[in-house]
Amino acid sequence: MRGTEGEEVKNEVELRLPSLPENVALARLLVAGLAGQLPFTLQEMEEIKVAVSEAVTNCVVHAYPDRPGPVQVTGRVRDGVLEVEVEDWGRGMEDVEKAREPSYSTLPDHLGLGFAFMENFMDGVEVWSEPGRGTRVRMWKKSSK
Amino acid sequence: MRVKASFTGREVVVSLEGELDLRGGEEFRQVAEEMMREKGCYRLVVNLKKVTFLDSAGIGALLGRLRTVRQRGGEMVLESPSPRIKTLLEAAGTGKLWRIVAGPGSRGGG
Repeated sequence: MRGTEGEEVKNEVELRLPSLPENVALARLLVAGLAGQLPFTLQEMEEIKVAVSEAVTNCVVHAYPDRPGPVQVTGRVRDGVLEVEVEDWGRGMEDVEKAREPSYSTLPDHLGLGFAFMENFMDGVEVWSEPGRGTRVRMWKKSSK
Repeated sequence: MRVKASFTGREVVVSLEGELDLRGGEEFRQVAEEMMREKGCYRLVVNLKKVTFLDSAGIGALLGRLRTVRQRGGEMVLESPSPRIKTLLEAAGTGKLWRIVAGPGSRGGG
């Protein structure tokens, strides 16, 4: 499924925050608040929260491993679809496809399941990344109701 | 995240309340590792009854403690997860790594 670019945006929220562990909860609360405007089931809401959490956690752990840097979280509702973008200007990735493989991790205490969870819980996930420039994750989900 | 720890015999029980994510996982790690270091431990019981959110960072924090317990020759038990939390643990492929029990009564002796 492709994204929904071109459709009318009904609502949009943006949050720019430093990549601190405590801000992962803040980001998923913001997106959950917006998602509440669509008829998602409770389970779908939980799935959205996990997906956002994974994307922002990646920024905290991987994009800015040494000191916090800026993360931008954008949520959009258009044509009954929730779209979420999480962008950073951090370290970036050489090989996006490798990073998306389940259980691939560059750190011993991390599971490498972040992208797998995003893909399982959203209808679509797109990732752009460039070493030294940053990473942008765009994902979307349509309510089943 | 609220982390409460107690111990009886050589069993450490850590009860978690709130969201087990990157930050909550770090709070859990600090308390659990300190308890196991101080008290010695052959069994770590983690009560998840009041955990309202779990993501892969939280599961990573649980797996890290499993590693510590196993290095000490012990075992780890996850207690009272909600159906949602249990589903996430299974989605991560970790269902067989630890014993998941319904409540304190099902913990068993040892």
